[in-house]
This record gives sequence, structure tokens and C-alpha cells, in this order.
Amino acid sequence: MTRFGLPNGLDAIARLRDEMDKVFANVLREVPSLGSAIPSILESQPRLNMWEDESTLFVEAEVPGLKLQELDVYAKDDELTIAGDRSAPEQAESDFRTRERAHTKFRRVVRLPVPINPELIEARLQQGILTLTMPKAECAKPKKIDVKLG
Amino acid sequence: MSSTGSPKTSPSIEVTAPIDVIASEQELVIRADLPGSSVELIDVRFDEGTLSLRATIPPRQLESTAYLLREFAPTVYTRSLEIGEQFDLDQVSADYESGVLTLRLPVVQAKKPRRVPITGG
Repeated sequence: MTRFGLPNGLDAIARLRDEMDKVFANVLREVPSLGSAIPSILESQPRLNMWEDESTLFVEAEVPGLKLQELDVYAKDDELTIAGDRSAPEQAESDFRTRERAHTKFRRVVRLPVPINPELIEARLQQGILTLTMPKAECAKPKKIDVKLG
Repeated sequence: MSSTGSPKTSPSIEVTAPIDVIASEQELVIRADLPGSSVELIDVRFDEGTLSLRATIPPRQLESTAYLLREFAPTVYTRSLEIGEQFDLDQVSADYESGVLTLRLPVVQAKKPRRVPITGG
């Protein structure tokens, strides 16, 4: 790009900017993929799975990039809340050439199918997957009823 | 957990990995969310200027697990990007931590933009 005639100094700055543009021009070009669209990790709410056995409810959540101390888990009877902050690190907006990952705070509230004992919840975080092990409240556990002959 | 033992293999869906690309004068940083994968299950390669990423997210529970809620499943994340010649592909570093893959591609030394000193009178 020709920038003759600019005032002294501005010309050099303009050339420097041009050089930068050249370096990063066409740095990235998407190669068509057979994969589906970008998944819902993009969304601010983490995706969850939930299952149970007789005595325990299990929940796992996708929280890539977060440490345990950056997550808050609240439980009350039959309600579970998972909150966290995926705000971007100090990074100028202009430095992003592509920005698809979530960079927001989130708070997901889930109604549990049975009440749990909040005091006994265990949390484990492994490679971006938070797993919660939640013992069911005594009243929610199945009880064996002795059948007597009449 | 309720579903102990080795999870059975189940068909994985293939999806595009969400990425951030951050550029500076020194390097290009690519970050990809790949929760639930592991170093052994991530493959990154460059071939004729194309960066290809493939990461498997294996099943964690038995196939017979009766989910009350299921929003994600075994997955294969893929992504391909054409990378310019200005990056030193021999010096690329890759790190997988907390479910996020970070690739750092340094700019080839000779092609880094240079600041032009300005003198004034």
C-alpha cells in the first residue's frame, strides 16, 4: 500500500501497521470440515449429564478451562446450582482473530429428581469435567419392607 | 459411581472444536475446548500448511447407564486450519490442561515485523 506524502513519522507508523497486517493476513483460513456445527460449549451454560443409583445422584458438567476454586457449587434439598467465571484473561479484543469459546460468567440451576444431602456432596474436576457425587437424602432412598405372613 | 468397570465403546459423534485464535507480534496462540479428553487421545499435525486437530472424548460411563439428563456424549472433536508460512512449525508447542488445548506457533524470526526507528530533527 502506498502511503506517500504522509507527515514525517506517520509514514513509518503506517508502514509498520502494513507489515503487521501482512504478517497476519491469511494466517488462518478455515478448511471445510465434515463435522457438525460448533457445539453448545459456546453457550454460557455448561452442558450436564445426570444419572443415579439407589443411594446416590451423579452429575457431570463440561467446564473447560476452569479450576475448582473458580467454580461454585450450591445444593439445597432438590436444587443444584453450578456457577463459574470463564471471563477471558487480559487480552485486547483486537488480538482475537477467532473467538468461539465462551468467555462469560455462568450460573446453571438444576432441579434434582430427589432431595440430596448437601453436606455430603463430593466434587471432582478432571480435564474440564466436573463430577458431583451427591448422596440422596434418607427419605429419598428406597426402603425394604419386611413382608410378614398374615 | 453407579457405573463401574470399563465403559463400553459407543459410537462417537463428530463435531467442530470451538477455538480462539489470538495473534501477537511474536506468536499465534490457538486454544481449543476439548473437555474430557487426554494427551494420548489428542492428535495435532501439520501437513502442507494445514493444521489438523482431532481429539477423542471417550465414554466415561457404561453404555447401559440410564441417564436422567444427557446433554453431552462421547465425541470426536475435529478442526482444520490453513496456517501461513510466517510461522515456525518446528517450534510449535502444545499443552493440554483443564480440558483446554493450547497451541503456540512462534513467528519465524526473520519475518517478524520490525519497528522502524524514527528520528526527528
